[in-house]
Formats: sequence, structure tokens, C-alpha cells
Amino acid sequence: MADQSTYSNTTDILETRIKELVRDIKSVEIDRDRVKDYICLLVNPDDLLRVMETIANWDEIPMNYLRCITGIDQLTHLEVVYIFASIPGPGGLAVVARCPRKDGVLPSVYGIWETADFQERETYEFFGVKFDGHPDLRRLLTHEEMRGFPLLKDYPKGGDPDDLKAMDAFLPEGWLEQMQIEKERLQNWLQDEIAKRTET
Amino acid sequence: MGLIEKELPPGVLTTTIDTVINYSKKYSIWPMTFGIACCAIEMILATSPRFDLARFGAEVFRATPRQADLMIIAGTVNHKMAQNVRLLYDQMPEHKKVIAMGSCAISGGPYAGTYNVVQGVDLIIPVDVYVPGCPPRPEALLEGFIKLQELIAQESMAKV
Repeated sequence: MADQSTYSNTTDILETRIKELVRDIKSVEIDRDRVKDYICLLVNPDDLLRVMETIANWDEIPMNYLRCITGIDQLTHLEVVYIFASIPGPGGLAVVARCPRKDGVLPSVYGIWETADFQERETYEFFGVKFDGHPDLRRLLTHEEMRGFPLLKDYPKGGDPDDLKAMDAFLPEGWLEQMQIEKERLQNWLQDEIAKRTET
Repeated sequence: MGLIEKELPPGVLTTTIDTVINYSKKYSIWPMTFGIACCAIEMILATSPRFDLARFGAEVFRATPRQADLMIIAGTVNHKMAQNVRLLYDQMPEHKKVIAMGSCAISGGPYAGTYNVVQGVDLIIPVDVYVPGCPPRPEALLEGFIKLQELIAQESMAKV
């Protein structure tokens, strides 16, 4: 079993540090009810970099491990969530930054945690948030020719037709139509065959 | 056959060129070393001593498309991968064959109707044999191989 006393002690330190942070930067709000066992800090995008630099350099429990960056589409605005852990101390800290749904810009935290490189690229390609100061903001997992941001809730189900057309541009002219006809022919053949075999 | 063979010395058989060529073709299928997702694990297992793909003459997995006759699409093909699959297919010499292994390669499978997965690899390249399953057992892949051999046996040089 883990050393219970050390854990509760570092949790106390975390509470103290958060109190200091809220005292220094007035715009930070604390939300404890959003996720169980997590303390969420709602941060104004203008103060984001200041908050990040502060928590990365906290005494005793520096948040030196950026676990994950992801986004949430709240329909009225986007939320970019940074989840942290501290190697010597406890985890359970999340920073939430709000930005507009279209053409949102946030400062990049690549200068503080280098692991943000791929995670910011991923958040960019799925939600369209631009990270100002990122060294190489390209799409990471999806096709280079894609223009839409697929994890936004208004992205068409089954893919944007324009995106699909751009991604299939490597195929020869008329190939897809031909293959679709061939596929239908196969399916008809299969149905006939099933009907024939069930009769006998 | 009977009439001619009576004229020939014992031990000499007559056959057609198609039969001989198809016989050698179907027992020397060289697949490409090419696994995309979890179905590749079953494909690898099919070559292991327990299932032994070598019984059907297909144990030589080639590391280059230029030496391979068979491409096994073992896994989910997404749009970023599709152009590479097509490129590899175009590099293979004739006479090339394709097996679509598993639901993802056949129709998108669990990812049907999503934005990033090709809805069946037969939209990108022509497929000869479909092996359904999620993932198919190695025995199912072997069955697919035997079907492919049957297909090859029906081919004729005159038609191609």
C-alpha cells in the first residue's frame, strides 16, 4: 500500500499552491464538481501561459508531467483541457482554457513541456484550435488534404464530401464509380446465390 | 488423352500448358510482408508451425512489392493509409492477387460510416478473395488461400 501520510501531505501542498495561484492571478476559477477526484482550473486564454509557467515551477510538487491535451466542443465555445501530474506528488489537476469555436487561438505550451508537440497537433487537427508559437503545426493523424475538423459536433456524419473527394484524389479518374458498380454486382450475385441455396 | 497416351512410351503424360503453369503458380504464391492492424497478428500466426501456411507454398513473405504476387490487406485502411496501399499495389508485378482479410478491410467493419476509414478496401484496389471475421482465425485465412488457389487454377493464358 502507498504511504498514506505522504499522499495526504502532498494533497495539502497542492491545495495551498492553488490558493496562492488564485490569489496571484485573479481570473482563475476553481471547479471541483466537474470531474470526480480532479481539481479543474478555468483559465482565461490571456493568462494561460502565466498559469502554466507558475504550476510548472511550483515548489515541492512541480507539475512536470503533461499527461494529455484534449478538447471539448461545448457548442457555444471550445474548451481545451490540459491534464497534469506531478512525479513527486499527486495528480488530479486539470487546466481548462476557453476559446471560440471558429479560429480559436491559444498560446502553445511547447516551451514548457516538449511533450505538447504531438498533443497540440492532434488538438489542432480535430478541433481547429491554432496554437500560437508551436514550431510545426501540421495535421498528425488525419490526411494532409483534409480541411474540416472532425471532432466538432457540426462535422457531417460519415465525413465531409469535400474532404473525402480531396483524400481520394490519388485514385485514377472514374475509379470510384467503377468500383461501386462492381461492388453492387458482387452483392447482387451473393443475394442470388443465397436465394438459390436456401431453395434447394 | 487416352488415344495419344497409348502411342507414347510409359511414364510420359500429356497435359495442357495452362494446367502446368497454373499448377506452379498456385503453389508458389509469395505474399507481401504487410500488416496494417490487429488482423496482421492472425496472418503472422497462419505462418507459424501450428497452422503452417508453407503447406500451400506461400511461406515466403517478401519484403518488397516488386517480388510479391499477393497482397493481404490485414486491417483497417484509413484514408491516409489508402494512398500508400494503392502505391504498393501499383508496384506489384502482374499477375497480382489481393485478399481482403477481416471486416474492416471488407466493408469498414466497426468503423462503417466514419470520416476517416475507407469503407471497404475494394473501393481502392480490386479484391479477389474476401475472408470475413473480426479477426478471422488462421484457419479462415488458410481457407481463403485455398479459394485463391482454386481461382488461379481456373485461369487460362489465352484469356489473360
